[in-house]
Amino acid sequence: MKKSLSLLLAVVMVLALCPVFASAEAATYTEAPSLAEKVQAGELPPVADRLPSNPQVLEVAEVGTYGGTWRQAVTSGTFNHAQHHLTGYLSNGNALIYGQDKTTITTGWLESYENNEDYTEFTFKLRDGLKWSDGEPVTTKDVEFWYNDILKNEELTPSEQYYTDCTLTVVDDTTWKFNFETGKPLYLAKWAYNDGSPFVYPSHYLEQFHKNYNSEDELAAKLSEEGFDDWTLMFQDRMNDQKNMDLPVLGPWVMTCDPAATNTITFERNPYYWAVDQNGQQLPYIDSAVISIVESTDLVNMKVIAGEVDVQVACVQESFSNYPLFAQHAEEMGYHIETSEFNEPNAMNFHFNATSTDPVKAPYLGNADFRKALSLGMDRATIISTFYSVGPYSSEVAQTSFLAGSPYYDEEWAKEYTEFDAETANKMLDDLGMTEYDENGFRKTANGETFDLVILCPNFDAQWIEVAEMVAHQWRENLKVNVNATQVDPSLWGERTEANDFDITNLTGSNGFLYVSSGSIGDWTGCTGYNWGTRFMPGVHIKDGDKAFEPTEDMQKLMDLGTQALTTTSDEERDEAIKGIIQLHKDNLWAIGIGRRLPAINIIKNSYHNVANLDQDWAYGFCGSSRPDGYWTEDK
Amino acid sequence: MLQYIVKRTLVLIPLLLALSIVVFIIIQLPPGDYLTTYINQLRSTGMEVTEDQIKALEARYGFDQPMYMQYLKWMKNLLKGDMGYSFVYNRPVNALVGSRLPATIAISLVSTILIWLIAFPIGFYSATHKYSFGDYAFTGISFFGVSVPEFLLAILIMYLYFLVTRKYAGGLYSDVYAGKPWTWDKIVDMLKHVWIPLLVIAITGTAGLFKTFRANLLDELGKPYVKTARAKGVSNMRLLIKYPVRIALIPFIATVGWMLPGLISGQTVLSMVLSLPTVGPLLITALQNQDMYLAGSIVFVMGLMAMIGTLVSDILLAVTDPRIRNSM
Repeated sequence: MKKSLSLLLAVVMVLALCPVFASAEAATYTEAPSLAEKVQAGELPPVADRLPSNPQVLEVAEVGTYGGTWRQAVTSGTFNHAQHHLTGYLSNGNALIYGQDKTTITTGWLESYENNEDYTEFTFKLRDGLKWSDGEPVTTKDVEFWYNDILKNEELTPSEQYYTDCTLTVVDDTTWKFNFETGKPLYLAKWAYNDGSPFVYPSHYLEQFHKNYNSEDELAAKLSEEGFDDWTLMFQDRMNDQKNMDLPVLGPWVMTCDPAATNTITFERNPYYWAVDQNGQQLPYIDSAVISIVESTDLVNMKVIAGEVDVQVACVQESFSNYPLFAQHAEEMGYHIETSEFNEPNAMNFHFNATSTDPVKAPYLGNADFRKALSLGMDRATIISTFYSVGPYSSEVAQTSFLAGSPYYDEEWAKEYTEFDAETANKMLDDLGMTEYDENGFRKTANGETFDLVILCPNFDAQWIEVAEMVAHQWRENLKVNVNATQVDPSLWGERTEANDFDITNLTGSNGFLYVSSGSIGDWTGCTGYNWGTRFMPGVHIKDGDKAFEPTEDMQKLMDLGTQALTTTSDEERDEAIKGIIQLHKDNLWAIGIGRRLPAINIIKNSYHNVANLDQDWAYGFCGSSRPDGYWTEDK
Repeated sequence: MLQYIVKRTLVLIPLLLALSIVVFIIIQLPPGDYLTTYINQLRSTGMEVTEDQIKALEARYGFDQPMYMQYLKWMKNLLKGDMGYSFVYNRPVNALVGSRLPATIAISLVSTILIWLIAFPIGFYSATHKYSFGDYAFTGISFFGVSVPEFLLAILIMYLYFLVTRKYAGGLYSDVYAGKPWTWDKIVDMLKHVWIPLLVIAITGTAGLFKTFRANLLDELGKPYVKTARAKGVSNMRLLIKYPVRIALIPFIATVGWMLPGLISGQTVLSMVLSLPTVGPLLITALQNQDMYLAGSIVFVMGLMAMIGTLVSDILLAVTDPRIRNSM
């Protein structure tokens, strides 16, 4: 027994040490037939030379075969969403990737990453032999180019945002370090989250458009050749993978046409893509992709029911009301519908201006009891049956709060003051001193002034104003509070909310806190800058200093807790801070919700395989954990 | 006559200047600018935009300059034939409009000719066969055409086409032909798509023209000069074509003025519904995003076309109508 064990050990050791295995595996890489032809013709180097020496091995559920064209149809406004799937959101979209479980972070085109204990130093290593889509090697020179010539160039990057305290140290051709003055515990999540601030750009291509690498005459010649007035405009156009077909990329597919010149954007496989499946087949499986840009959503729907899209998230995801139409033709046209949860707290949020400076309205808008009374005075069932239910699907009543899937879900918060209880609500308003009524039968303030509020509704979507009007109507009828809704252009809405000049505003969006990230914490505390969260605390981040409004005590606490949650390197401390944030929201009810969003719709052709995790969350750029490079189709 | 043309042409110059100012002011009228729209879009999708970034963007796009400076810059380039720069597309306006112009003009021209080819003969028939079965039939259809909005009709026809053939018929041709040179196959494919917009235009666009022409012609037919000519024994067809039809056409010649800008905007609503790559949808997107140079330039060119059109129609009127010619 002992003998056989030691023999086994010896065999294992020999096997483990034997280098033949690695090279034997490398020799078995295979590629798409179209690429094999090019290799035969001498136009491309062989697949083993195009792949990194240790390509990423993607374990796909079903090993696929090459070929096919993936079709999508979008309106021009949603083009970027569709394109993220294909090119991987600019260069570093896939540096780090969330795994299929959506919590662990794995490497994409990076070979490894490391951080020190207090998250001030991050070490990244490129896969050895990694190449841009034009075959040029990716090296730390490309990181330096980003750092010195893009990030540190004031004309291109006026605000360094996340990298203000970052220094870059290049170790060798494939390894570099980011050193931060303060700890950045959430930055790995941020990098895996496709937030559009990549740190690698193809320097060999982009240098020709950069001021630092060209004399003034050369730059002027380039400007007139490319048709731009200003070198920054030219550079930003050339570095944008959505606008420039010539930009070398790292994603599975490469754009092959000028998107400004046509409504049918085409993509071809990237011959230098850095991942293989478990059998050593170079990914992606699908040869090419097409995004048709149409003028309206109706046409996208027509294309869906005509079976002319294959895997589609963009554009159809929001229109749950089309579910019956899509379902009616699904079987016949050979596609199916998958639904997924939006990482958004509510179908519609009503934000109260708690820092209002209107002498009559401020005491009420800024009063938590007033907001709670209004929440109780809403008949959510009626609103949901009118706007947020389709067939068997119906929105679940909830406040604007973290989703049930969030690690910090708080049921009490989700359900507080959501019951329709006009009696209690009226009593609460009476207790606030609003016991007198004006000649139209509406409540006056405790001081006897007439009291009316306006819901400022931005015209982002035609339905929003209808919802706002119904809510206003309910408040007038049930509570005798004179509220009216008015719809304004988004730009005017932006100006007025920034200037603190509104009472209530309604909008969708933000973050359901399914995952902890700088974005989700920022959204709920307003501590990272002007964003969704500050709708309930306008004035905190205001354009002109003289217009700044003092946040209330609780708002200040909220922001401080947000900063703490963002910067602490201790998990317990972050936990505590987030719980504090929840408590403040529960107590203050700065935003009132109606119910959860109806799920998102994804359209998937039955002939497509390995399509999983079509995540709606912005945090995953729609593609990270879905891995479109592993999709394959029976339609060749 | 020549003096008249020269005079009218010279008047165009101050008019154009006025037009450019009015266009620029109108484009600037909505609150905010492209940047505020852009920033709101970013924010509504959860992106963070800092004050420094906004200031830098303002400087880059020249929004930090006073309005008259922005106007002068635009005007200076416009005189050189450069219509400026589109913020949304990050492309020169000339290239954007240029790439869509051929399809736009082709669709507008074909539809205009189609409308005329249908409207005038049936208008002529209806007027000369007043209260006949045919007259009632055509009038009935034209009521339908006037009252049904073209976008609704387009969606309906597309959906019916889908129900029958199970195919999508939007766009000008199938996606596989995009960016390919024009071949016989591509033309056949285009004909399979283009009949829908043409049918819609034929139904909705013809109706108004038909009704006006019929009414004009009926007015003329009752006039004493027609009776006199008949009494003198002029053959019926010759009489109708030579006198009443000519007079009934005069209002249409006067409308050439607003037909020219239509050629550029190219059936905007219909293009939106059917996804035709014309200038119309470009203008809508530009206006929605407050992409001021793109929107301004398209509106300016349309205004310019209206002016030229009016000039042309005035000249044509003078040529066709001796009463005007002699009064000059």
